[in-house]
Amino acid sequence: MTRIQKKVRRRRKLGFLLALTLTFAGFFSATRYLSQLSAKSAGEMVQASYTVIPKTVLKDHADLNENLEKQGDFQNCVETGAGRVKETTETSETEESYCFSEPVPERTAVENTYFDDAIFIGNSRTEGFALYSGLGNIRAYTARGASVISVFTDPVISQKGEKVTIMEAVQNAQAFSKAYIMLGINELGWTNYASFIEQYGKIIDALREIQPGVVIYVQSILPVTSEKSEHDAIYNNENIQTLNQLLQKMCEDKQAYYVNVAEAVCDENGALPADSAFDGVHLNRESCETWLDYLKTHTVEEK
Amino acid sequence: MRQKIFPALLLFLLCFASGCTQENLDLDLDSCTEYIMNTVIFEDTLEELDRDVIRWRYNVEEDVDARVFAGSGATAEEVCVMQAIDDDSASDLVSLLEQHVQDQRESYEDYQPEEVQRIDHAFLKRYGDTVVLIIGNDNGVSEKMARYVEQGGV
Repeated sequence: MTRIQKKVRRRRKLGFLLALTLTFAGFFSATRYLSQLSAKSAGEMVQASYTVIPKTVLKDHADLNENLEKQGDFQNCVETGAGRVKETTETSETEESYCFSEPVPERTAVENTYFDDAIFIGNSRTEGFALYSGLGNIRAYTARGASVISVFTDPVISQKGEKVTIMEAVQNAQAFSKAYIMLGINELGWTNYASFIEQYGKIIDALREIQPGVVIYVQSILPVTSEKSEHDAIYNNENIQTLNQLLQKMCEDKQAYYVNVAEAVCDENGALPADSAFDGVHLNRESCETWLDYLKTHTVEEK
Repeated sequence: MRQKIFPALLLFLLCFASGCTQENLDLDLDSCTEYIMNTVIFEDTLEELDRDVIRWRYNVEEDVDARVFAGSGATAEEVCVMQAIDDDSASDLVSLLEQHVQDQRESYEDYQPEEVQRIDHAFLKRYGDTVVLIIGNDNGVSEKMARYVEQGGV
């Protein structure tokens, strides 16, 4: 091999090494850039979303509380002119998004026309509400004994000569932009309240699938009278309170609006006044009107 | 003699079969409803329903005039007095209320079985173009309604 040939060969080697180095450098820079970009996006998503309770099996209310404490994100709601909103901890700015862990706050009453594009899903209590509240434009899909399961399974609504389930009836309904749900009193005897919450969540999911963008109001379960509560191992206010607490937390998880209508009809002991319900459960006209007034003053939008 | 009895018997049978033993009567909705609410025994506190709610609950046409009192859901008790604009519509009303009674029976069957007996004793009768449905806690509804008609409540 001549001297010139050796020189050429050495230069080729150097060129190859240089190209290799540049390629690696480029690759690492690109990877680093992409990972930074990805981290940034993820960070933004975290800021824009709410705490999601892990879908672990929740044996009881205590489990749920524990989960929320672990998330450490149940208390960052601040009062603003527009109601309670969530404050992020990562930035100094107050995020203008709704605090789903809190019940819908009181505001100026809306007109009855607010409910023109609303549907109501519920059991016999909501049926009573439909009869007595004076809401002439109501679209209620109700059944006696309705539960979070039966709304999907029991054909109880007459439509065009045939019986369909509540959720099928909702699917066949004209477009709606708000949905009010009140279920739970018939499930008080369930041994596993976690199943109740899971199934309730499925109703919310189904409604969103049927009507994307629908505003979902989950109403608290109304109490029963003290007499009923004291003499019933299942249909009592203690169980109702437990379910309501779980419902409120489910609303945070599902980003639905929790309307604590129970506070509108209960007495100082948290029970339904004795003269409000003939059987201790189903509300009379006056109480249904109070219920409607509460809904009108607890909305998240004006129209 | 037989020629005269036969058509009369046929007419009676036709009338009976159609369930309209008092075809030519016309009840006054308000006074009839008031009479029922004052004389028939109910366990629940019944409240009068608004017109829009009646349309939603019974799926009746707008031209049907109606007075309805219903319970909160604790019982199946209700009073429903509806007036159609003509004979055909009145027949439709009867069918509609028969279906309503059947639906009520089904809905209470599992929920509150004790209400089924009350529903099974529902009073449903047509008076001319008016149809009366009473689900109450009173075994003497038929007699009371007959008395109302006799007393000239029509």
